[in-house]
Amino acid sequence: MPRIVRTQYEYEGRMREQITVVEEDDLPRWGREAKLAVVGRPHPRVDGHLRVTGAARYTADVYLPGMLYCKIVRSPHARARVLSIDASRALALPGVRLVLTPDDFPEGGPVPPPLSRDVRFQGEEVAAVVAEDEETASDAAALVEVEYEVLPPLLSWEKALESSEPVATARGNVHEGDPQVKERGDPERGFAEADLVLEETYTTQTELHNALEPHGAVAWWDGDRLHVWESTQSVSGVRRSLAKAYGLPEEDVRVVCEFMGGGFGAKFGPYRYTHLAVFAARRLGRPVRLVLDRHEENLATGNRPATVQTLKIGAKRDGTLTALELTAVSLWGAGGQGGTVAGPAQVQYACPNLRTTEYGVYVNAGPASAFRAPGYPEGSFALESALDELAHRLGLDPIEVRRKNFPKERPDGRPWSQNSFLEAYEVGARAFGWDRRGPAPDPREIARRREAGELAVVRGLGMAAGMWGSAGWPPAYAWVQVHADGTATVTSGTQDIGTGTKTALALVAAEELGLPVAAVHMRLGDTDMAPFGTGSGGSGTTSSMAPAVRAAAADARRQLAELLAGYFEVRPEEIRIREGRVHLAEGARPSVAVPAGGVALAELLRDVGPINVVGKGGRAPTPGDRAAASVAVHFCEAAVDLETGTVRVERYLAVHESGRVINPLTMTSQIQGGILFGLGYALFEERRLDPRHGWVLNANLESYKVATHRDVPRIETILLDRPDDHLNNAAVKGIGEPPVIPVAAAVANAVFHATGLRFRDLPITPAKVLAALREVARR
Amino acid sequence: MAVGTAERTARPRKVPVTLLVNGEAREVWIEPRRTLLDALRVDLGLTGTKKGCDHGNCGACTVLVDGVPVYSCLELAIAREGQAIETIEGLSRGGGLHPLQKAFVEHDAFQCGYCTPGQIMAAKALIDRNPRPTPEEVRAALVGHLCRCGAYAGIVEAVVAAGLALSGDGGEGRPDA
Amino acid sequence: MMPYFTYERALRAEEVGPALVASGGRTRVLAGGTELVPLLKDRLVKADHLVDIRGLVDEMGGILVGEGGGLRVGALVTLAELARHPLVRANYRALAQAAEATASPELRNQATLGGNLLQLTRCEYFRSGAPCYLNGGQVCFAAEGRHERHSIYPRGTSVSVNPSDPATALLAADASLEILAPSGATRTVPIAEALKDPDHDDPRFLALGEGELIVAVVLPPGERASAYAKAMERADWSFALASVAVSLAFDGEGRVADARVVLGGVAGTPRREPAVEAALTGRRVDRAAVVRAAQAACQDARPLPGNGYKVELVRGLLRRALSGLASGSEGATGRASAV
Ligand SMILES: Cc1cc2nc3c(=O)[nH]c(=O)nc-3n(C[C@H](O)[C@H](O)[C@H](O)COP(=O)(O)OP(=O)(O)OC[C@H]3O[C@@H](n4cnc5c(N)ncnc54)[C@H](O)[C@@H]3O)c2cc1C
Ligand code: FES
Ligand code: FES
Repeated sequence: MPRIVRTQYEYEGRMREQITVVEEDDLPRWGREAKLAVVGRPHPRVDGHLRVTGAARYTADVYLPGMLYCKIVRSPHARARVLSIDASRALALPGVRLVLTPDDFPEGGPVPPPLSRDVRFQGEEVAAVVAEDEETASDAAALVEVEYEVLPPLLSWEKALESSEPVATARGNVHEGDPQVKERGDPERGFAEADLVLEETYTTQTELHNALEPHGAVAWWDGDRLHVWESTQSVSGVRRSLAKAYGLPEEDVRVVCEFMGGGFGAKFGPYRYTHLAVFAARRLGRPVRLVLDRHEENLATGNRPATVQTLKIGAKRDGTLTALELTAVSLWGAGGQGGTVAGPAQVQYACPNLRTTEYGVYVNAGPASAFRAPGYPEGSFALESALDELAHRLGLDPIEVRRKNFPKERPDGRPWSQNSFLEAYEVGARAFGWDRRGPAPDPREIARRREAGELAVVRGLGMAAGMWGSAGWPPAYAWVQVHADGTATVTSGTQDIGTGTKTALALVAAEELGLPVAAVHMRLGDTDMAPFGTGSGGSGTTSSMAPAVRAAAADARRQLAELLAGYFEVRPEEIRIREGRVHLAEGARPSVAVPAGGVALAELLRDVGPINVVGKGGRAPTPGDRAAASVAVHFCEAAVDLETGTVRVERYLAVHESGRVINPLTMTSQIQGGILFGLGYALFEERRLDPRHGWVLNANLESYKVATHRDVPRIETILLDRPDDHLNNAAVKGIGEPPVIPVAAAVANAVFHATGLRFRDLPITPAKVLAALREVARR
Repeated sequence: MAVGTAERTARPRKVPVTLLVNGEAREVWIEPRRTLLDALRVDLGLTGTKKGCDHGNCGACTVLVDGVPVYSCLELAIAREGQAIETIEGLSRGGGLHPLQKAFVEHDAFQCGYCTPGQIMAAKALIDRNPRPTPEEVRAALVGHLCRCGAYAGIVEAVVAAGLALSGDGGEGRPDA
Repeated sequence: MMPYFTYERALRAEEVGPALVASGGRTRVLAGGTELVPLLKDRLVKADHLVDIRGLVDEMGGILVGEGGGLRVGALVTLAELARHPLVRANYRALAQAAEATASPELRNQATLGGNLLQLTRCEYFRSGAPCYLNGGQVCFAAEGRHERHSIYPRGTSVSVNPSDPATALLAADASLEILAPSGATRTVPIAEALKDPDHDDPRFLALGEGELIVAVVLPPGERASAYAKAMERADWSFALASVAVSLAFDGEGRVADARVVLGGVAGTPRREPAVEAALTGRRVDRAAVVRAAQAACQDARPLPGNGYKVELVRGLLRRALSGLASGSEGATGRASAV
């Protein structure tokens, strides 16, 4: 029975509470003993053929009859006031239909105005034009004359903290006015008790998402009904926001995203461009398309914010941590929101005394947004580098130090539902050959032999660990309809952003229904005639949706059994369906004989005619008494080219536990993809800003470097398939984010082991490596 | 807000161009500035070829011109009049998947799939010329294709496997990684 | 999106120059388009009319053996053709390697050698449309801002570096450019003379007159061993952080008779390095000579605050390229594998 509950769950390192409708299910959990036929076996993507033939329609591929094109005029200045906008030349251009300015969007409406008069970052939206084709729209955008009063931008966190002029909110330049402080035990006493105290500052850069499909929307008003195609990680979320903004019943808003070219946290929405398209479409009575280009994408659609972290860490001689203190400043840009940088320091190790102080600082740069494990790769880089250094200084093995500080419970006192760190350390160390790792060299020796022409490449091994607490959440609903041809359709207002959601949910439905996977159709990515589905974020899509789909499929199976029981004149419990064939339980006495191999469901139903079997299911709340932990333990072998300063990762091993493995094929792809994000972050990805003007210098994919085919090491993944059945009926947790978290530290630790040089500033570029070599050579 | 009233018809700047796409001659009326990529996507509705950057920096827009892979975002459609253009849609004509497409699905050589058409077209040019590439040769041939989802390992495996399938080799003599 | 222009295909090379002159700069030549198209899209250059020269292969295409040896490489030859040509690979190894290290396979299929030499700076300020000196403004923002990829020999007004890999190798090969003037006259200029720093009036890296076309690149004959080494922050498909091209002639005893050593990505033009050349000349290329020669590089460099690493980088690249050419090794015969 559905009921209303108050539930708590962890989302991207922060606890959330909400009141929601849940449905309990009485299904036996898919625990370790469950014998499953389909789930857990590698299965290619059910929509793969559409993606490899070009038939898959992404938002950027939506071209509607009569459609107009919208182009945004953006500020070239990081901080400015718009004094005037003259659109007359743009309007005189044949084919231009509309020019929008901030005057069209008065403050105080339900929609935050999508155009600004006060410019807070380069690329902020100030006007928009709508025209018959894309070329005309861009010609017209270039003809809109905007007069600015250019102001000096606040770009550094030091200046932003000093300044009395707020960048983004009236409350000053620190998010919520004050830093977020968390404390346990007595850190001062902890440091006093330590045999060794390390204190270092770590800096990380701004990373850009660069999903290959840019952000974009196509809006069309069919009378009073709004249709929006949006490249989004949450069709249901966009529908809800649009309905609210335009005062429509949710039923009158349809949001579609059948295929999505990557999001990585920056594509929830609706965003400013969505509202511009919706507004213009209503005004002009025609569909309006607004798809961003790569340059806009890299100026104004979010980022992983840069951080400056000072981490102080105290330990006993045997490696036991006595105190941790982290002060982290994160540059959130103009009004953005970054993640919890202190997350790893707070929960990953059992340290009795801790203080974390986090500042989210607003500056005149593109706003930060969620980005694959917000805050965690940043925080992990500092924490896991520091642990490596600590181990080195104490003459201990880095894994030993981590084992020693394994947390038996979450700091809030809740026991883990399960926590596989210890197993993962052991399995990984063995598979990687960790015991062959010798001591790190003396960097002066390396520099000397380099200059003597004796040594050109050095190699080293490093490791790091990461953790993520996600096991999904309600609400998440699904419908499963069984058709008379023996196939079934799963419908939900969730989406597959490329992570394999459709495939994973098809396996779950097939398992529960007893149908072959090929007989399961997936209808995701369209809110019309679909129940609410979760957004794809927080590594919670599968763990939220799979239990709901399973419950809906079980409901459908029950109905089907009842229907078939009538046909055979047996009890419904005596009906078995396996691989699309109907069998009867031993001892059943049917009125119609069933051959030994069973009867195909399709054959049985063919003569019956239309049927009306629709199961529904919802996600039960995640029990609050235990904490979830997806764990990642990574090992890295890096080669440092001493002649060019380039670091190449040659071999990589990732050990992961995220509960039950539904589809090892797509899960492995997720892990590999996560590692590549981490490698780019460790080695070359970096948004560069001009220090005086706040211009983004590399808002493109040429000088913003993303890993290529040739940057990919040999990657081995080990999936610890350990169903976590306390958490949900499918015993699953999340995998999207964990693989990104420890990578930068694993690489930096391997570079240390190769060279004896410690890099505390990301990315580790040739310039930094060469500068460090030169520095030690001089000493 | 202001509304434009100038008429479209005041712009007789389009010219007829005949493109030979996937074996079919198709006439489009376009301005000379229209790129081959936009002509394929907007004028011919062939949206399988993707736009990731429009600047020659990602590879998503790759098509074959006379069998050679090029970035269609950097080509003017008008300049390629009469040359044989092959897009992802041409690969599976007749319904069945091309061995490369099959191998991409089997090896999970993509996640979101946005870079996939470009990767496949470049791979096709490679195995047409060298049906048994080594993994390193595949990487060298496809290095101009970014995959933000990081499906690179699967892509290399898929191309090697498809080459073997096409050259009728069931897997014997498979080049080493 | 590019602004509107009209388009035509050139039928004869001699007709192109006069048309360019008559247009007063509003007509531009289109070769592979890999440079011109992005510049037009970003509205960094303007054009009302494009003349597509790709059809002029009779005059400007092909790789031919010249009189008395050497090669004549047409300006329309693509970088892919250049990189795979057997004679280029055999006798001008550094050039083949430089072409192969340029951009990506697709871009090499599209990009021509002539266009490559006429690409503009990759300075991020210029490319993102900042009102800098090369964009018609009065400042070079990089000098005071971010300049990790800029010159360590700053002079003149812009601290840009020439981004071309082939240009660096061509200077080491002592190549010349065959240039067609609008008058119909052809002249041949050593590339060393044609290379220039970009400036306010002409942001290009080559001194070409109005309406002049590069018709071909001429490579002199001669038995030389050569190598190209390039550093990038990721493994491939990037402009050089710095590069070196080394071309050596050996005497009968395996000693260096003549050395041409060129550094790329460090100055407004590829830069010959006489101190390194002197350190090599008359010696066998062994480890001691390599170390000494590398150390002689960039002694007079004046790095900006953010790009001192390039000095170390160039020395490392020199050690790498020279080690591949060590006396008696395969590389010294010109048959070395790619660096
Ligand atoms: C993503 C990317 C990466 C790149 N990486 C590298 C790299 O690593 N190393 C490197 O060296 N280069 C690199 N390049 C540059 C590339 O090599 C050049 O864009 C290309 O060579 C230009 O040749 P094109 O034929 O396409 O020139 P076009 O774009 O057709 O022309 C370029 C310019 O030259 C003029 N022009 C062309 N031919 C002639 C001629 N014969 N006579 C007179 N004028 C002429 C044109 O009018 C135009 O102004 C890269 C480019 C891109 C887009
Ligand atoms: S869209 Fe052409 S290379 Fe990116
Ligand atoms: S599969 Fe998403 S970019 Fe390659």
